[in-house]
Amino acid sequence: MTITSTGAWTGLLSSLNGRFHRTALTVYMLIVVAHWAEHLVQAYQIWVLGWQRSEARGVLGMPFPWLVSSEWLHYGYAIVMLVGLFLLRPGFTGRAKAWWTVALALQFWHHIEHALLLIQAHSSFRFPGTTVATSLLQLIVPRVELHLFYNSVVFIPMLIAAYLHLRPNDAERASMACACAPGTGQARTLRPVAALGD
Amino acid sequence: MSTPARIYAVAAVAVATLVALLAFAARVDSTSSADSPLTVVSVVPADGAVVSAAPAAVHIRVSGRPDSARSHIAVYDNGSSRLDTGAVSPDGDDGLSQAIVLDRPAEIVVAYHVVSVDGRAVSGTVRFTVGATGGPAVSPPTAHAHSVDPFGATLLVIDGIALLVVVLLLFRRPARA
Repeated sequence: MTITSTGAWTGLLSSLNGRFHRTALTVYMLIVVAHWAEHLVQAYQIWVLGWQRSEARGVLGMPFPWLVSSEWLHYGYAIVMLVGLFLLRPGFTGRAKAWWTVALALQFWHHIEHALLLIQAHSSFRFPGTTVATSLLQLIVPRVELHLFYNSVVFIPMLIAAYLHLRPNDAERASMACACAPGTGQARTLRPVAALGD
Repeated sequence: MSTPARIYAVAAVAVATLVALLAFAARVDSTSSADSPLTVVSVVPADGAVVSAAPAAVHIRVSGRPDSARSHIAVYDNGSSRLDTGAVSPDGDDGLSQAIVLDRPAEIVVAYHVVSVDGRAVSGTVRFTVGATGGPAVSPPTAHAHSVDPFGATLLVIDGIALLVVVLLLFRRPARA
């Protein structure tokens, strides 16, 4: 990577975690909540409307049924989640950063699981003792759909992080480069190197 | 211990506890489900699936330990010809497989009657298509599916409550200027 592209990348990351952090975080959380809402619609279709589980495909899955069974789509969403958690992490401080990092670590593992599923969906590779594509956790927790388990264990620390970021204590507020917490005033530019680390 | 280290420790313990509870619940469920009806967990190829090549066998997983000697899986094409060959065989602890012979595109019907070792039974039919039909191919089902089971629905409610609590907290505790 050249010095120029490194500088541009640092500048982009700095802006994203500075003056655009609130906007980026809002868009990101809307995507996460929309995914949650899609599954909520699926649950409504199954238990309130009485649809067969295979027919309950949420909102987008009705006109595009292949979306529900597309491992590429689910892997893509896992990647979007992971990239968002990674890119927006430098803007967090203190306790919020720690909880966001927890979500990032768990999502990284979720993404590995999806990558394994993607490989199995497009090859004859299977884990010993299985006949269908199976995630690693599914080997010790069989017969439970773990997609929503993974989403929940990522979602909850993410929510805690967002709350603590919007309501920081004095020390956290002092080190914030963004204007996410009302009253922090004009967003400062994130320190290019030091602020990216812990 | 610093605050971030404490948060990491709490999160690690919480996730490990959740996974252990899930594994324990799954084990208890699999050993004490004699009173619950036997249900089909998955069929491969799945109902409504379009597969490009004929599978060598049909696989059925159920919510118990199937008795292959008392279970039957019959596979027909759209001309009502039997495609299954040989006997039903065990496929792991909770599955059965039935070999089939097919070398052409066809609409397939699978009729099954699965009996578990503890005497419960489940029967039904699934249909799938071998060969292109113009629509997008359906991926084989995965054990890490993206439907909503009762466990997932519970998690959705918990997520919703957590979201609501955070929004309420944000309103109740306005940020200091």
